[in-house]
Amino acid sequence: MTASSVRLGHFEQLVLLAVLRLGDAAYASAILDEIDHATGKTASAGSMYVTLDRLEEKGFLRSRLADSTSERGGRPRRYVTVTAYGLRELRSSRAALLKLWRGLEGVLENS
Amino acid sequence: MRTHDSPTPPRLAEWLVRVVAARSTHVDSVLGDLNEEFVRLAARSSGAAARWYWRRTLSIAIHFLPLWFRRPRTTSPVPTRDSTLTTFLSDLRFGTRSLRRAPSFTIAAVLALGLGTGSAAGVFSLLRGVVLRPLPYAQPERLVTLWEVNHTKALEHEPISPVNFVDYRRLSGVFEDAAAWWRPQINLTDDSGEPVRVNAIETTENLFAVLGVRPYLGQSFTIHPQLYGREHEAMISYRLWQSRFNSDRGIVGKPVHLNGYNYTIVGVMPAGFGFPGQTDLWQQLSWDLNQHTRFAHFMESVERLKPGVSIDLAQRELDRLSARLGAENRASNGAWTVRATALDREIAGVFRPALFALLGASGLLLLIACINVANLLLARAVSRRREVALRSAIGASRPRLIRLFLTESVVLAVMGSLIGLGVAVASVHGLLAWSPIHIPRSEGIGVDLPVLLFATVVAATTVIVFGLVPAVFLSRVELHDMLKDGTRGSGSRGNGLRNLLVVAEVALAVVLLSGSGVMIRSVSKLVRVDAGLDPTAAITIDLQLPDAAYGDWTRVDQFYTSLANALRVNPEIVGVGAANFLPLEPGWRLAYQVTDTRTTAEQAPQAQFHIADEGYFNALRIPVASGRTFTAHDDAHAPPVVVINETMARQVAPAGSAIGKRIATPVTGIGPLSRRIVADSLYQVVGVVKDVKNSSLRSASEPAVYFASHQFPSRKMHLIVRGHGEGARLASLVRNEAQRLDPTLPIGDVKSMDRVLEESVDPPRFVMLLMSVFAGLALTLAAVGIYGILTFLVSHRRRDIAIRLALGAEPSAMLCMIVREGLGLTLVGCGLGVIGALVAGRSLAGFLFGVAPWDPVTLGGVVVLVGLVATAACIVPGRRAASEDPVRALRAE
Repeated sequence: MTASSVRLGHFEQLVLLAVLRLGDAAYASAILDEIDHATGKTASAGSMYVTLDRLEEKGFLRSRLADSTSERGGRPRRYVTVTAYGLRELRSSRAALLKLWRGLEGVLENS
Repeated sequence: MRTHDSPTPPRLAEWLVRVVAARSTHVDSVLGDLNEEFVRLAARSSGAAARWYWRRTLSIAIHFLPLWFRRPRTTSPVPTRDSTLTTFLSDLRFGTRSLRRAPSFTIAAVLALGLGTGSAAGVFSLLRGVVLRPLPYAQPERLVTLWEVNHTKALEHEPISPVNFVDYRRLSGVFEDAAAWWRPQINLTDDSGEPVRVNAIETTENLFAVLGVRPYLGQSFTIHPQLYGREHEAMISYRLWQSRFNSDRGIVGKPVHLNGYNYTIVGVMPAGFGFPGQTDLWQQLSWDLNQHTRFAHFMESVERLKPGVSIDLAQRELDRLSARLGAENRASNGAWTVRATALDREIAGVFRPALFALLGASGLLLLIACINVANLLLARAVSRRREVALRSAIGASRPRLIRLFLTESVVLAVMGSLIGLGVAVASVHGLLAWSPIHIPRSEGIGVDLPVLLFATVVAATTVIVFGLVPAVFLSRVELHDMLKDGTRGSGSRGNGLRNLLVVAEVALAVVLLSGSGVMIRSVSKLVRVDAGLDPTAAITIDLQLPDAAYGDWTRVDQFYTSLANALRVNPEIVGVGAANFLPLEPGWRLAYQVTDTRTTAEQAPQAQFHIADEGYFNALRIPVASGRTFTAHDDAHAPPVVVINETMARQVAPAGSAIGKRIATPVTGIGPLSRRIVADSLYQVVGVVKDVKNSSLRSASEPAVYFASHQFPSRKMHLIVRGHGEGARLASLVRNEAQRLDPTLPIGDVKSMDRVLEESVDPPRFVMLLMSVFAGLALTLAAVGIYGILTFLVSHRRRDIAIRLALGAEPSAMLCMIVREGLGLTLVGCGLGVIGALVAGRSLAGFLFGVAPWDPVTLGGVVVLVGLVATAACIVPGRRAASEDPVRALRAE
């Protein structure tokens, strides 16, 4: 077992990938929509916020506050971007998964 | 910038998010996201948006709450927390975990605590709002009100005479100032819309000065030395200003028509002010109080005591004064005295003792809930002896153990008080919103911080005290004994305490059930009292013809006659009548003389004077005892006639028939309301009707004389309409007909006759309702208590029972043994409860009618009920004991 597979959970990976896809426009509601759109499954808002906090705490994400509009009651949006460390984690996680998948294509087709 | 019209999310939900997500450094942006989406959704539907917001709140709470119990990350750069906090957090984690592992215990304890604290907090909120909250006037503790009392006529609470008022006000040693008013019925008309009936008083000019309240707009009345003036000024309430005058800031100086006369609005009172009661309009007094008579009692008053003067001192001065007035004016004041009452007590009225009694009842319920929780905690503590022993064996110190249990109790207390708060909020709002009962000063009552504190302190004290007892008790027991003992053994100390608690619980439930039992019996007797009429399918509407347009008394009579005749031909209506007082409403109490007896003015008997038309007795189905009632021919040109009730008939003709007797009275009219229009003041009794309750359902009917409305017309009348349709339909028929006759006439209150009778039963019904809820909860909790202790007993004696069964004991004998044990405790509890009910019942005596607080039927019924419920609670654990498989039970041991 590699270190990376322990560090990134399934949902965390989904979040990080959605953030990458959204680029500059990644904030909680947009990320939720992106995941919903890509996977067809609706994630809960509560888990999103908790996960964003955890990913930032682990150093995979960085936040920036902006756009305190009146519709938001004067409160800022929290835009997130994936850090270089986060990217590295994603990459190694992907590598680990691909390695594990190798040779299992037959299993997939038969099931 | 946030604009005023943008929708705002539910504030409680927002606050919850802020609290639970406080661990996130970005809680502000979370709230912003929610806000943004909410605003977007609210543009389509605000209800759906609010529901969405709550769902999100829930989701966030679910995900953030566990973080509070997670061990702080060791990798975190945050400096290590101080050790007490870490210990506390770890205790907290332990506490919640162990509570989660015992869900039925936790649910039972939290529910019991929640219901107990919730009902106590709910009643406490009402008590605070209605009774304890100071009146919103300057130094309200110095305000009193005066009532005149005539013991010989059993009148304990009469309005005062205007002339007497002037004398009372002159007691400058005790009163700083005093104001008086009476309640005419006022129709308000102006150019801006439909004529309306308003709650109005005509008051001495100094009322607002006495209360110490300034107007919101304009000024109050100029105060003349005699407290009246002819400027025709009026003040209006904030509510009327908003609803009728569209909050027009230029209202001051504008004219209004009151009963057809021109008045000028001089000021608007501040929002929420409506003294007395819910008054919307204050008319400047326009006549001299001194020119009235000491015989007429129709004014109410408020007096401001001088600083440092007590009510008792004022009462002594008033006693001296009324003795003097009685000596000087024997005929008018001889039998009268005056009584001072604190204004706040007067306003709270019967709700003051009612709410105190209910607070007592909810206190008992809370006590039962506490005992229940204590019992649960004790049982749990005993079954955890081995766990405790193990923990101390591996090094847990005694204080740490105590703290561990205590934290668990704190968690219970917090959850219990949260539920309690919910129960309190729901019950107070529900009661105020749904109950048909009018509670004085109920505006603005809510569950606020002091109530919240009250509930929390109560719940916390219980749980912590009872959580601590087992902790201390357990941590003292010898380790060795406990490990050896395991789950076996008698645990006699704990059992004794638990039995005691169950007995107490049953006893308290019996007290509450008896209280609610006698209230139910009393109310059901009250509603069954025969008021002397048939209220079904009848409604009443009150009307008042304005003085200015109806100065001619024959026109007054004509109006009501045309209205009644027009309605009578309508096929939907089966009966129409009118009278100036409704049943249960006392008429004017005045003196009369029977012509063939010689009495002086002082000895003249008194009767209630009513005015009724020819359809009244039929419309209310008041039976005629002898003679006849009025006809359309009993008019101004016919000989004067009266109808009297049976009580008066006994007074007029103690032996023989009252029909044909002649009654004389000097009364020619009642203020601006009614006037005699027949020349002769001698009235012949033409009929006797059965008694109708004419002061309250509780008291016997007073003598009453009915004058014919065509001979003694009244501008104010209550129309009674009996018909086939809905009440609202009947009311609209009356409204149309009245508008056709006089388009400027507003229609007053519309009520069903059923409601007229019910209203008088409201306060006892209010007490009954809440008492019954409390009693029901008490019984449930007591049943849970009995069930709990017997279940515990059975599992504790499993081995004992198994051995007996193995040795050949009948299973039914085991069942009997358990039931006997439970019923024994119940019986002792019932005995003590009956004694308690006898003592506590006295506080209810004031609300009871036709039943004693120690009513044996009720007490017997309660004991039987508690016995049945207790038996049911015993049978489940009893059967478990009886069906025990001895082999399995012994092996498990």
